[in-house]
Amino acid sequence: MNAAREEMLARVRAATADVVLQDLPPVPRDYVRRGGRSRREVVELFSRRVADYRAEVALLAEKYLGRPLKEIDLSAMLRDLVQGATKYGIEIPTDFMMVGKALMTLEGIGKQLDPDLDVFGDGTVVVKSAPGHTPGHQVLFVKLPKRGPVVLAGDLYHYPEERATGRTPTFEFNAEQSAVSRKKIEAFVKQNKAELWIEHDIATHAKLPKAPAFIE
Amino acid sequence: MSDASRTAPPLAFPEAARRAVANAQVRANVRLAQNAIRAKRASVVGELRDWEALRDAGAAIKRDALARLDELLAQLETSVHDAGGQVHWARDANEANAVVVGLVQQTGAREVVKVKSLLTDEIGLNVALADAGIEALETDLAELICQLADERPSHLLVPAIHKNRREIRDLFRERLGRPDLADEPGELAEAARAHLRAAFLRAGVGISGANFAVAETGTVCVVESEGNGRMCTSLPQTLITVMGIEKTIPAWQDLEVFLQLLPRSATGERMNPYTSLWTGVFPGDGPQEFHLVLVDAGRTRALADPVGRDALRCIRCAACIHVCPVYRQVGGHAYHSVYAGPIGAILQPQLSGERGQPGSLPFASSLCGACGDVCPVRIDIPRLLVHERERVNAAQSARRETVPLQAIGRAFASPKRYERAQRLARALQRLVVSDGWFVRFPGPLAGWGRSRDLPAVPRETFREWWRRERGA
Repeated sequence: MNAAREEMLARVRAATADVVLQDLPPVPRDYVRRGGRSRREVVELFSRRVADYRAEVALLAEKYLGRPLKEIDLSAMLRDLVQGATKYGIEIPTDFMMVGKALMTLEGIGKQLDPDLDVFGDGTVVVKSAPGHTPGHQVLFVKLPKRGPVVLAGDLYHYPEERATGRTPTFEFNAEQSAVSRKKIEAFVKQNKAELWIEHDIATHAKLPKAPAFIE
Repeated sequence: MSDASRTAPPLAFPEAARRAVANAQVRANVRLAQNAIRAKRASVVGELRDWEALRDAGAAIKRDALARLDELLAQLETSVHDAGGQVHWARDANEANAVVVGLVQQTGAREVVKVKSLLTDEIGLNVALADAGIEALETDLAELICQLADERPSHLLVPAIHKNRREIRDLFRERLGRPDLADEPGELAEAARAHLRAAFLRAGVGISGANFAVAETGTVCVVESEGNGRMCTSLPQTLITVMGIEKTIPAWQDLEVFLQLLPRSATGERMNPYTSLWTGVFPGDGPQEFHLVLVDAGRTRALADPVGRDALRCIRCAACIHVCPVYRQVGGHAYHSVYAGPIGAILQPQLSGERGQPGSLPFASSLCGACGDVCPVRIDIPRLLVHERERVNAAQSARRETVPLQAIGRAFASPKRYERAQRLARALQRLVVSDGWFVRFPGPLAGWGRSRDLPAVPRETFREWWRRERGA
């Protein structure tokens, strides 16, 4: 095996004997280099653009944060993140990317398994799928430190009476689906001993504090 | 694996081309695929305003790497070794096959899974493995189709470009034992996936080629579309990579150039779906044994030719094939080489060492120049084709052509001889001239003259007129 090594290296040397390395022009790197900045350059660039960066993060947050998994296109989200990071010279740790890729791979399965998204992973803010009124209708569950657990009903109900009568608006996207969702959310409310706020109900609305006041 | 179809003595290109052109189905498939990939490539290349600068860099990096290949190979060996891999050297195809067969036998495996690799096709590794009683399973979908059909791949990137889905369905029905299959692409892919998935999980040895190997880090890079390569390079306990020595690039940074050039040029994608990079072995994850086999097999011979060595810059993107008007008509099989199209017409004689006849591969081009325009590493393909033709002609010592051409050269070199030749031609041309043009040429020149227009020698040349009017 060693003979092969020596012979191949000798062949290469003989074959390139006519080339004078010093005469070769240096490799031109006039292409656009993405990344490749020194840390100091990155920090300088970042400090100049920090306001833009904040705006971009806010945009991304609005686009994705708190959305149920089934409404998120994970590959598009990853692309957005990478593009944003590249723009500001931010390094994304390999492990983070691997998680992103794994999520992408699992996206289909994840959506089947759990369309309800626990935003912070601690059960304090959970987006729950409750289709029927619209195909993608959701309710929001929040666990407030003082007031306790609350479910914001959205368009699950429009009047408190509907909880007893089971009636739905005539323009419901899919009334059967609404009935299933209502049953599911009622069970969830009971299980979590939560209040159900029907924001469409004028009496409920009147009792809620108005901004800048808030409920803790 | 059918030895017969893969190693049959090649037909001369003109005859092979004649047969290929008669196959309307293949021509239709090739035309469709060529149109689609060509358009995609043009559009994604057009997006990059620094494309020409990337080509400059790609060409220069490869030129530099080839110029100090001895140094880089030694560095690559050290880097791979330091990362826990082993490096083997093979001077020719037989030696490479023997090394790989030996390595597989050491593991005791009777079966290997393979990533699509041109080099292993070139050296006939599958046949060598079969001879040793080892079954090699091609896992690239198109390669699998060719393997099941006992056919040669007809294209660098799209090996089954010559087959349509009905033909594939029939093949799968017969060879995969799935008589229920329809000719739905999704269903066909699913059948292949089920067939392959079992093999991935079973196989103890994976065999891959390499798109690039970084001397600085010892990292091997394989790009692909389907993910089967990722399976082969990560699931088996032992991974054997077989690579041509010209695939070595100096530095990690150089990948930023090639990973832009290659996918855009090849499949017209901004980035290929899977880019696998591995450096030696990593304890507890992926293959625990890694062998890198460095293969010469004609590379150093090509490298010794100061003009021809440029072809070794090739990164096998097939952009030249997708624009080639000759390939469009004859398809890949007519080339009877792993490397088809314009670059194949250069690489095949270079790597095999067969000079061939006039009419062999280097002549299978109209020299329209489209290939050179798209080459991501700026290989001047038309020039190299002419260079290869010269070498064929020199080897032929074609007296029938050289003697008259030398005579013409001598005649044109002096005014006196030139005028004497003109007078002689004027006396003789009467039989073959009509309306001031040569219309037919005598004897062996007949074929040459059919496609050429040559004005007859006029009754009085300008020089003769000048002497008559103005005196000498």
